[in-house]
Order: sequence, then structure tokens, then C-alpha cells
Amino acid sequence: MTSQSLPKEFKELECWCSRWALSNSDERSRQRQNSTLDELEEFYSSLLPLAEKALVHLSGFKLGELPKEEALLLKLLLSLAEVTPAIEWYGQPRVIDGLDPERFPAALLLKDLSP
Amino acid sequence: MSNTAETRFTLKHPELGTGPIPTDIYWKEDFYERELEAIFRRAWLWAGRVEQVAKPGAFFVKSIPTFDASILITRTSSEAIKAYHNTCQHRGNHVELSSEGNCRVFTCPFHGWSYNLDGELAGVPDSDAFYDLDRSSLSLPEVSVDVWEGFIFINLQESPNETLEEFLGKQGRNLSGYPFEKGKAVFSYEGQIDTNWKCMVDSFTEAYHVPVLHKRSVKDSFCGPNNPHGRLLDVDLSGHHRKISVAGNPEYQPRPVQGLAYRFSPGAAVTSGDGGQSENQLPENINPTKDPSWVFDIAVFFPNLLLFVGGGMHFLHQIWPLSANNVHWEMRGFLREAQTAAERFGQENSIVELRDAVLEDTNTLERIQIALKRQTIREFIYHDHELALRYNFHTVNRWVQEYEKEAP
Repeated sequence: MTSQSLPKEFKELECWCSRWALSNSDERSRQRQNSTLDELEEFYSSLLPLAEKALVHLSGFKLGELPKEEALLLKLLLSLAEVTPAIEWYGQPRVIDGLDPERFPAALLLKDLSP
Repeated sequence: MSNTAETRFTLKHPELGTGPIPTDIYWKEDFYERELEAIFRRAWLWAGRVEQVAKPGAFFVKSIPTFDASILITRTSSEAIKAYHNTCQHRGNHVELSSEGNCRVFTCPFHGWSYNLDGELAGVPDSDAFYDLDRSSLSLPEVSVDVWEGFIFINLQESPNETLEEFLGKQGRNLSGYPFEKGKAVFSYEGQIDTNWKCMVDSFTEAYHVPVLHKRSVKDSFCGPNNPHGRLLDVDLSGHHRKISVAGNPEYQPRPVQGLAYRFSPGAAVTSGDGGQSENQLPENINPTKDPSWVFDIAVFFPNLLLFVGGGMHFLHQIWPLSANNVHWEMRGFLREAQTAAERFGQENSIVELRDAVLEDTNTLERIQIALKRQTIREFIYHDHELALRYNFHTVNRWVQEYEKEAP
């Protein structure tokens, strides 16, 4: 997709955009639940080496005034936040011995791209 | 942490005893009916935040699932916050269907009767065809409302037997001055769980479970080598309410992405283990022991509001009983506002970690409720640091007994 373009230092992450540049936390949560651990690990380990650089880069941009490329990069990082407990805590996509998140939907979402 | 008789919380309250607690009141419907009258129809109940009615004409509708009630809360042109039953006085439809908004009059979508912000009947289409229409007696029924630290509370008694200030007492004073207004980035989750409302409130008022139930998630950020069992720093019982102070693990080494999130966060995450040391302007009675490992206080406002106040964020749970064995539950989080795109990532990490840890907390409740109903557990045995749960048992019984003694 031509619109799925990241800032040039992060071009190599563009392959993740179609799957992980999502519009809100409900979609990110659903994508995590519907992925295998292998898929999540691949995404996590591709993002991790560039995550610090990406955050330093995004620190220079005010939320709400993001160019398209930076907005897309932020979307990938928000998905990284969603996926992280699956990797760093559980070793499986879902919370172990946890209530089904589908029973506990978000009633009020934080907006991704504005304050 | 020491474990001597002098440091035991429960022994400071000999009237509460140390023995087992019978479990009947945690599942029996007849007791639940008594709780509704004695507690939920009489206590001050949290309904929202002042930011939701920032200007005259701003309103929101708070549903009270326990009573199927819909309460309309607004700010009048004279800046007063008012609450009404959301019930048109013509035929009883909801006057306002939106959950929030701004308006000058509320117009019932049934026949178009309208009410001004003061709740007075302002317009009746084709009014000539009514008989003896006394507009002054047809205002929206008013509900008692008051505000503490920006939190709007309502009371369903026609004239509450205590003011909000009296009701909150020492607990209200202890938390006054916390920077609640900084929590501008709001998120929430809600759902239903088959549990007794008290079991759910209680589940968040001890940390004894943390090293076990949360062993894969937040255990290491709360329970360091000097606090392996999740002991509390303080338990404060005051009036109807209670507050516990929870320790973190200042030695905690965050995992890779988590560590990045903590670095790029607009306020300390509750899982960071260091309690947001950068933010030290907290009121004296939050973290009353001034322990450097403090992470947050959990204040229970009787009956059904839990307010977690940490160094860089606060969040709450509100639990509305639907029956003795079922609740509607809302979690609402208040984060510091993100200025940069990187801080938005820190916020998301806080939300996701909190949500996943709470999914662990809540998954025990339905199993417990089945055991209670089947009476395969007839008594709860409380640890010294489960004192807040013991106190809830006594407080609930006291409210029911005192109400029934006074009732005609």
C-alpha cells in the first residue's frame, strides 16, 4: 500500500504495517488474541532493536500534530505495547489464568494520535 | 518486613477479632435485598468527574445498574452541578438518550417535553390540550449531589442522613490535595462478572495474592527480596472506609520494552516498582509511613468505589451489584497527558499492563462465587494483611443492623 510509508530510518518495518498499524486498542487487543505466539515473537523481535531509536525520534513530535509517517510509526509502537505482555510475561498470546478480554471491552478509548 | 505482635494491623482493632468470617452474606439473596435498602439506597455513590460537566450545559448520564436507574448530571447556568432522575414527567421516558453532550434544554424524544438545566419544565408541545397542567410540579426529580476533589457523588435518599463531607470523613481528608486534575487522559473498561460485589471490592484490598496470582506479570515489580509475600505498608480503617498502602520493589529491573515505556511515559507506571519518585508533592496521608518503596494507596470508598492513587497515575474500579451473585464492573484509568508521540507509547504500556494484571485478578472471582453458593467454603480465614476485607464484613453488617434498628 502506497500510504503505508514510515520515516526513512524505519523503512524496514513497513512490512508490519498492514497487520499491526491499527486504529485503536480494541483492534490491537483482538489482533494479539488472534495471533500465534510465533507471530507475536516475530513482530516483537523485529521492532525491539529499533524501538528506542523510534521513541527518541517520536519524542520530537507533538501528539496531535503528527505527519503521516510518524503517525504510522506510532501505531506500530502501540501494537508493540499491546504485544509485549504476551512475550515478556506470559509466553502465550493470552493472559494465563485470566478473564477473557472479550468480556471486558473498552468503553472509553484513549485517542491514539491526539492528546 | 517484621512480623511481631506490635506490627500486626489486626491486633490494633480488637473489636474486629481475628477469627473466621462466615460467608453467608457473600451469596445469599435475602441478605442482598437488605444491603440494597440499608447501603446502596443510603450511601453516597460516585457518579463522575467535574471535567465531564466543565461548562454550563455540559451533561452526562450515569447509569446505576443496581437499580436500573439513569441519572442525568449537568452544570446549570449559575455553575451549580445538579443531578436528576432522567425521567420525563409526562409519561416516563428517558429525557436524555446521549451518554454525554452539551445543551441548553433537555428534550424528551417521546413527545417533546423539554426541561431547562435547572430541571424545570420549560416547554410542552400543544399544551392547551392538557387539563390543569401545573408546570411547577413537573420538574425533573432532583437527586442529591455533591463534589469532593472533583469527584461527583450522588445519594439516592430524599434527604441524605449525612453530608458527603461527613460520609467521607477522615478518608476524604486524607486524600485531599492529590493532583487528580492531572489525570486528563481517561480510558475505561467495563463488563459483568458472576461474583458478589463485596468479593470483588475485597479482591483489590490485599496484596497477599500478588506474588502468587501475578507471578508471571507484576510480582517482581511489587514483591522484592525484602517483601516476598506482598505485605502492606499500612492499613488505615476510618469510618465507613479503608485504605491500604502498597509497596513496590525499587530493585526491579524492567523487561526490555517495559523499560522503554517507563522512560517515555508522561507519569510513572504503577508497575514500575519505584512509585514515581519524581513526583513528591503528595498529601501527607498518602503513603502515611513515608516508606521509600511505596507504589500506591488503594482507598475504598464504601460501598463500591476503589481509588488507586500512585505517583504518576490514578485509576478506579466501581462495582455495582446486579444480584447477590453478579456485578457490573467498570475500571477507569486517569493518566497524565502525553505531550509527545513517544509518551503516547508510555501511556499505552500502562493501560495494557494494568488491563492484563486486572484480568488475572478478576479470573478468581467466578470460581469463588460457585464455591460460596455450593457452600463448599463456609468461612473466610483472614491473614493479618487482609484486615481491610475483615473490616468490610463488619462495616456491611453494621450498616444493615443500624438501618434495620432505625427502620419502622
